[in-house]
Amino acid sequence: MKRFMFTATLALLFAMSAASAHDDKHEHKHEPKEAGDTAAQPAGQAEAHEQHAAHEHGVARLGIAVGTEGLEISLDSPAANLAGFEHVPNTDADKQKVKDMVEKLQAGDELFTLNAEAGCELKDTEVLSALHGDEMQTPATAEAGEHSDINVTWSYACTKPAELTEVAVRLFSAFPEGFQKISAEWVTDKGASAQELDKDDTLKLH
Amino acid sequence: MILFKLTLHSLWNRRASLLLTLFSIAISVALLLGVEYIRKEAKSSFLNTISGTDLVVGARSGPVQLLLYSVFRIGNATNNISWQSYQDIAANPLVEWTIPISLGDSHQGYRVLGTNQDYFRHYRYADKRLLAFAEGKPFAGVFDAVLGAEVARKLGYRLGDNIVIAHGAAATSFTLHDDKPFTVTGILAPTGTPLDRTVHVSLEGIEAIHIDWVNGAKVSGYQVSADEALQKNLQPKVITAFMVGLKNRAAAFRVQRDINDYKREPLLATVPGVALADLWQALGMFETVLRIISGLVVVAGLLGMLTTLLSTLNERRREMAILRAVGAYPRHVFLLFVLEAGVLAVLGCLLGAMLVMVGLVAARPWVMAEYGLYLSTWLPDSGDALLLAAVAGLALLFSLIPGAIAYRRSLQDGLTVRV
Repeated sequence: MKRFMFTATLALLFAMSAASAHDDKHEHKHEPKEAGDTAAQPAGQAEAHEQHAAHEHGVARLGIAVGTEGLEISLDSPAANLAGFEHVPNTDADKQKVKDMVEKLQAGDELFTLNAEAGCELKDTEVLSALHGDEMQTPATAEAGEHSDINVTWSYACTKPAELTEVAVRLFSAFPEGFQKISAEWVTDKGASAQELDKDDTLKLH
Repeated sequence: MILFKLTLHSLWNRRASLLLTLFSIAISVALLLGVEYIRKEAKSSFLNTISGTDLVVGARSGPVQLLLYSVFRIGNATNNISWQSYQDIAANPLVEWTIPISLGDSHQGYRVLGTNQDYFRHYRYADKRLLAFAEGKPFAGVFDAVLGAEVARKLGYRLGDNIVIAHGAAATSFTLHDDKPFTVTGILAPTGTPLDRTVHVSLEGIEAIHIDWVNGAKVSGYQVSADEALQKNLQPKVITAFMVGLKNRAAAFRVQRDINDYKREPLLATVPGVALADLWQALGMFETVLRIISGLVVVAGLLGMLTTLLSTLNERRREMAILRAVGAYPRHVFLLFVLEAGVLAVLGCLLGAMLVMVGLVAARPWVMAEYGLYLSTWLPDSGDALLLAAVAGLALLFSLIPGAIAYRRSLQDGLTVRV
């Protein structure tokens, strides 16, 4: 029976890969622009390969990982979703926009609500992006015309992380111009799952 | 009450044709329940294969593909990854343990997996259970092998036996590494996962059998014996994938991001549970199709019942007329049909459930021997109960047709003289 199950699975993978091939086309609609990455690679990293990560405006990835002492929520998003642009800010207005964005992101309690039983408290927020002069990305990749991403990690400490069952996500209302779709993934002691969000919603972790 | 008794007697009177109807309902119900059972078992067997591993890392492809070839031994890797990249990531302070995996060879159709002793220390399945040995111990030497339970049982191997590994993953490979046989040092206890169908050897063993091969083929005149191979540097340069356990699971997505941004080589890290959830969402379509098919079979079974009831309407004109003559109301005649269908459907459901139960118990020893998979006893849960209720409801709905016809005819029909 097991072999049947695996065979059946395999048969389905064809259907699936056909479907994902379709997705790929969609995700790479920015690729022609990204080809510029080659020139932007710093000369010092001779061994490094070219990275052309999928980059689709309006779409982001949200990861929630619950450990034994707390959890981390991470968001990988094109900068355009959060700041409205992807270049290094050079006008005062743009600089203000980036500052506002970082402040908004650092107020994690406004963006996520965890069920109270878990006793979780936001300890730290880390915003990595080329837009506010961060070291994570070389300045070269953030030159005008390049795409850039923002990575945010919210770290929570919880008294009873096992009790964490619900995470309400309010990113859509916090950045009304930004997101169309967020792929949420989570992993807890009891398992893992994924869900696509297209509006503010509450994730049921288990 | 008397109507119910009448129903039973009436059914008994036409037992030959109704028994067949009953069986067709029972078989369709058994199919419906069986599909549900397989669906749940398949899901749990997938979920049980890997547990406690935070990330699986391989060459950049798709998360589901990576998980399938590295954990479920389905399909092949698109690319290998370098030992250096593996070492770099294993050195990450957030990483607690890693298990390297090297695939590509086989033994009589069973995949050969090159790894190290960490596999037996850290790999967990089902509810975070470590691997247990039925006999022997983990491999220690370069040419030692540990067999999965099914490999040992099917091929009749015991500790100390020599096995020859074939090049490539096909069941009938003609290129054998017959100059460097492996000795069985351990046999794993059954796990009910693809591990049972795997031959485990050391990474150095995989390196050693390929040491005198160039571009995937033996080179004539150039041969390195097993003893000579041991003297050479057997440090592998590439592996297929590796599994990662973190000190703190909360960092899973952060480490995943770091690995995916690794500059030296394009790598892909995936959280097994998330990739499984993706796979399952994709398979949902397949499940739906299976459910629709089994649902249609049930409808066909019930239509068979409807046919039987309708075709007996004419035969039973006299019966109905007599019932009416002795004082039964038309609604009693109507109810008689509904009750008959109800009794048939309920009996069919019970018989179908029993078929599934008995079938699973009967198949258990065979499935255990053949596939090393323990079939858990089937007990109907709330979902199954709902399905059975739906079957009975549909049967009652169908019975309204013959019921209504009999109701309409019951007065004049049978008593009226027809020429």
